Parts: sequence; C-alpha cells; structure tokens
Amino acid sequence: MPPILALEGIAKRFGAVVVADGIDLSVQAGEALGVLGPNGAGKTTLFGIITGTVEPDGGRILFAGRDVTRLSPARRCRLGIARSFQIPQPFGGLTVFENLLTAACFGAGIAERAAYGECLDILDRCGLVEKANLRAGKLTLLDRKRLELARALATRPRLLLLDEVAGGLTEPEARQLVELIRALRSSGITIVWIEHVLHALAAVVDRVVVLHGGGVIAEGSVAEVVRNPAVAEVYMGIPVDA
Amino acid sequence: MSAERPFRIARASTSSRIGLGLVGLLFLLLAAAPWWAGRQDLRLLAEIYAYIALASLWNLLAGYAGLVSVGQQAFVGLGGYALFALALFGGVGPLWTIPLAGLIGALVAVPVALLVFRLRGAYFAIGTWVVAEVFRLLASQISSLGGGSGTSLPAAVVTSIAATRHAREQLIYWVALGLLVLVLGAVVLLLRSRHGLALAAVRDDEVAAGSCGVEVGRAKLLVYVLAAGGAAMLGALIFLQKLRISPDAAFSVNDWTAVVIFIAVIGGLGRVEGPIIGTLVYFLLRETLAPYGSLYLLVLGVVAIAVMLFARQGIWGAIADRTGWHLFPLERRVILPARSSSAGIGRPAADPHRAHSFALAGLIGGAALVMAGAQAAADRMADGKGPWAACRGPESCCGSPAQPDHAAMVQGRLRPDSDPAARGVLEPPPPQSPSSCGGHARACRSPNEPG
Repeated sequence: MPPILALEGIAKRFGAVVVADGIDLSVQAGEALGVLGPNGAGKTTLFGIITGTVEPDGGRILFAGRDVTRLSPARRCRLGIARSFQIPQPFGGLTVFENLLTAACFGAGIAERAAYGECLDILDRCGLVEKANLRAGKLTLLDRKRLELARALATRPRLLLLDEVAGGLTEPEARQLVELIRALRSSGITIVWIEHVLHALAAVVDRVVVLHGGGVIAEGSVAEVVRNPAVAEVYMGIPVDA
Repeated sequence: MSAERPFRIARASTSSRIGLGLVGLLFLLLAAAPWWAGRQDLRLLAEIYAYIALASLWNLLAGYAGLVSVGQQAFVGLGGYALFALALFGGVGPLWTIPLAGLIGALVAVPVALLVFRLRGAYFAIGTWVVAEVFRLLASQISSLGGGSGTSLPAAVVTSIAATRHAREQLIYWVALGLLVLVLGAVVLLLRSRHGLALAAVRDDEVAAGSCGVEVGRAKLLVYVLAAGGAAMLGALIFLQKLRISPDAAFSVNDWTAVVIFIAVIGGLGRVEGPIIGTLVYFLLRETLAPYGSLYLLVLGVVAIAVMLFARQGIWGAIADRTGWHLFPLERRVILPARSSSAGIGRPAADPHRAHSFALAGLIGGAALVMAGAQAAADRMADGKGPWAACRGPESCCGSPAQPDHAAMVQGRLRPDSDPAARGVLEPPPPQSPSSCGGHARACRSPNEPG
C-alpha cells in the first residue's frame, strides 16, 4: 500500500529565500507526524504546497499514490486533504455552524440537510456547540482556532494538516485538544501537525521531522530530535557539541 | 456526543418574516402603481427598479465573488443593442428581446470571462472597462444601427408593444417590476442555497474557501455569467423605455457602473439588502439635488466618502451589525432544546430580534414616506411650480435624446394627437438628472439632431 502522502523533491523559493530545496517526505496512512522548525523554516509553506494554495517550483505530491500536484485546492480537499490555518481564517460573515456546513457540503460532498447532524456533532466535540449561531467573525481568537479544527474535520478528511492549533491554550484546554486529536487519529485520520508546544505534540505523534534551510535536518521521536545537536543549533543559534 | 440530540434548523427569523411581509406588501402596492401614480412616477419607479437590479447584480459580483468589475456597461449596452438588432432585423417582439438579450449577454460573458479572469484586482477592473470600451467602439461600427450617433426604434416596432402610449408605459412598467422581482428572487434563492454558502465563503476568504472544497474559479465564473445575463436583460429593458440608443448612452461607464458602484457601496457590499437601501438613498439625493447641477455630484462624493470612512460596511451593514436584522431569510440558525449543557441556543437572540423588528418596520415605512415626499417634490418640479422652478436653464435641463418620446415625436414618428400627454412637446422637458446630462455633454444634444 502506498503512503497516504508522499512529497518527492519539492522545491520552492520566494525570491532569494529558499523555503524548500528538494524535500522528500512520506507519511503512512494512520500515522501521526509532527513538524518542527524555527520561524521561517517553511513549515506553513509546505502545508500550502500540500493543499494546493502554494504552487511548488518543482517536485511532485502524491496522495494515496495519486499525483495531485496539478489539482486545485478544492479537488484535493474533496480527495481528503484538510488543513487548519495558523492564523485562523474563518468565514467571518457566516455563522459558526454555516462555516462547518460549507466545509461539509463542498469538502465532503454531503447534501446540506444530511450534513446538519454531523456538523453539530463536530461542534460539540470541539467545544463550539454553544456558539453555533454566532458570526464567526465575532469569535475570540481561541474559538477561532477551535473553528479551524472543526471546519477541517467537517470536510471528512483522510489526511489532516494542523498548523499550530495548541498555541495559546491553557493547560486543561491543551489536554482536551490532545485527547481530541488522539481520538481523531484512532478513528483512522492521518495527522501531520506543526506545533511548538512540544509536550502536546509528544503526546500524539510517533515521529517528528525538523525543517530548516529548505530541507529536513532531523527526524525521529520528539525525545530524539530535541537531543539532536543540529536541531539545538538552529533553535538556539549556538553550536552545541555532541 | 450529540448524535441523537434533537435539533432544528430555522431559516426565518422574526425580522426576516416582517421584512418579507413588508416586501410582499410593497410589491402589491407597486404592482398597482399604474392606478395611483402618474407617468413621470412610473418612469422614475421603473428606473429605480432597474438600478436596484443592476446594483444587486454588481453586489453579487463584487460583494460575494470579489470581482470588482468596472465594465458592467458592456452587458447593459449589449442588451440594449440586442433589443434593437432583434427587433429591427429579427422581427422579434420588443418584449421578447429581453430574455433573448439575457441569453446573449450570458453567452458573450463566457469568452469575456476567459479573457478578464486572467487579471486580478485593479487589473481586472481596468480590463473589464477596456472590454466595455471595445464593445462601445464595435457598436459604433454598426452602420445599420446608426453607427456612432445611434438610432431610434421605429414607430411600427413601438406600437407593436401596445397600441397606445398609456398601455405601453404600463406594460413596460410591469416588465421592469417583474424583472426586478426576477433578479432579486434569483439572487436571494442563490444565496439561500448551498451555493450561497460557497459564495459567502469566497467573499470572506478565498484561500480558506478553496481549502474547504469550494471551487473558487467556478463560483466566480457562475456569478460573472449570471450578472452579465441580468445586466443584458436590464439593458434591453432600459433602452426599450428610452426607445433610442447610441453607443455612448448604451456603454456609459457613468450611468451603468459608476452610479451602480456608488449604490452598492453606500448600501452595503456583500448584503442582499444593501443595493435596495443604496438605490433609495441615491434617488433621494438625485431627485432632491438635481436642480443644483454639479453640487449634486459633490454631495454624492461626500456621502460616498463619509460612508467609506465611518461605516465601511455600508448603511445596511451598519444597521445589521447593530441589530442583527435580515430582510431575507438567508441564515441557518441551529435550535437545540434547552439543556443544562447548551441552555437556550438560538433562543436568546430571539428577543432582541422582536424588539428590533418594530423599529425595522418603522424604518422601512419612514423610507417609503421619504420617497413619497421626494416624489411630490419631483412632481412639483415637473409642473414648474416648485421652489426649483428656476431650473429651466439650458445647462441643467438639456433636452436630451434620453427623453425618448419627446425625441421620437419631434421626429414625427409618433402621432402627438394619439396621446394626451403629448403636450410635453410644448412644455420644456422635465429636468434631467445630472448623471444623464451634466456629466457628459455628448448626451445633451438637441432632440432635433438627425438620428
């Protein structure tokens, strides 16, 4: 069985800044992968390339063995790739419920009426059901982050890309989120998670990759990569002797 | 888990029920206008309908699909020319040309979209304008339709609509009202459907919409084609009322786009109610300030700037934000039975809705009153008795060819004796709005100019 996601030689540069220089990466179905890297390492750009909002300069993206490099973001979403945005991008003029309904109708291809129950269900799991009728533009930052996750789930993803969903959460909230993401994973959704909150990440993922300078500089469990001298160097800015 | 939790999805709210009721009443009242309003009133009302419809379509374009087109006059003019071409050469009944013009407009919009959709933002705006100018130049090459100076509908075609002018004007008035209901109804139904969710998503965030499975490009194309078809139908109607067409009038960026943008922006972009409110404000200003010439344009400019500075969401946007009112039931509200965990979802909002709904009714009634007042003022102006009777100067009241029956009668195409209102020939023509005459001297030719 092919990996659910495979990046082959992905290259992307913005002017002189190289954000991806031939990245190869593969994620097995059912896996949970963490993505680390200092600011500007190209983590969010990589998500853009996978979901189709950023066009790579070179390389291929395979989803479940199928080349999706030239497909529109919407097609990729319908195939089962969903993402949350690091800076929440809710549909501010729609209600929270309608945000999910849009994702369910167009991302999962469900008829509107058939999607009502499922959307409420997801809102309930994400702690937003009380705010179903609020305009998404009026939500607090925390609730917007919840909505990002909820809306991505409403597309019935097979691969869920999470971009810093735990940042700014209190400890109990982070624990709830970890529980939710674990439950998603055990329901069969593959997870790729960009996160700086390491203990939240460590509680979910099996493997992390560290991006820097357009390439993968380290790979392994969370415990392994934090001891990696190359990782310490890019995060701390000082050479660390092993 | 709430999988078995009973719930209900409500579409209508108290404000939308009252709003729809009022809209229905207003529709009945307006449908009966030929029995209570004069000729000038009917003409003005039909013009208002056309502008509400044009602004609603532009709102769909810019407010939802993010397509800021400055070239909708391309399709208004195309519709107008379709009317003349079909009626003169195809022998099609003038009223039947309206749906045909819509079809032509929608078909032409597809290749135009392929061209202009390659452009973004300001470049798109300029591109659409350029296309409209190309259309204008092409129209001026059609010598059988009068080339650059245009042409009039022959009396035979005009009388084929209805034998008397009275019947004809009534018929055209109802067609205008019908077209408004068609356009508004289509817009509301579109926005109420799942496609409305997609359009709202595109409006709020294109990137996120794409990542949620919405085909952004396809949604934009759909809106562009719909807006073009609608604009072409309205163009056919507008020039059926004018009975005369010229490339400059048909493809006027001032009349069919600048005014429409003003209306949509001050009314409230991205809201169905915006264009309605905006049109009422525009005509209120136009009818009261018309005699003051360029001052009128200054006031329009100040109003537009003030709205953009202090109420960027437009007049209706500001109202709706504070009150939660909706004239049309577009929203989906989740109503769950009260439980300890989710007490009263959907309910708490109902009370403010009710409290506000009376004020909403008052507001609409007030607007209607103000319109009526403006109407009375306009009547007095037309009778030459009003405080603005002095506005008979040549510069504020040019006898423009846009006053079609007047022009046609001077040219001997209509029999004045068949029509009691033909005294209009002897009287000075009613004041023209600056938009159709002050802004561009081309439209202010003498009616005797050969057509």
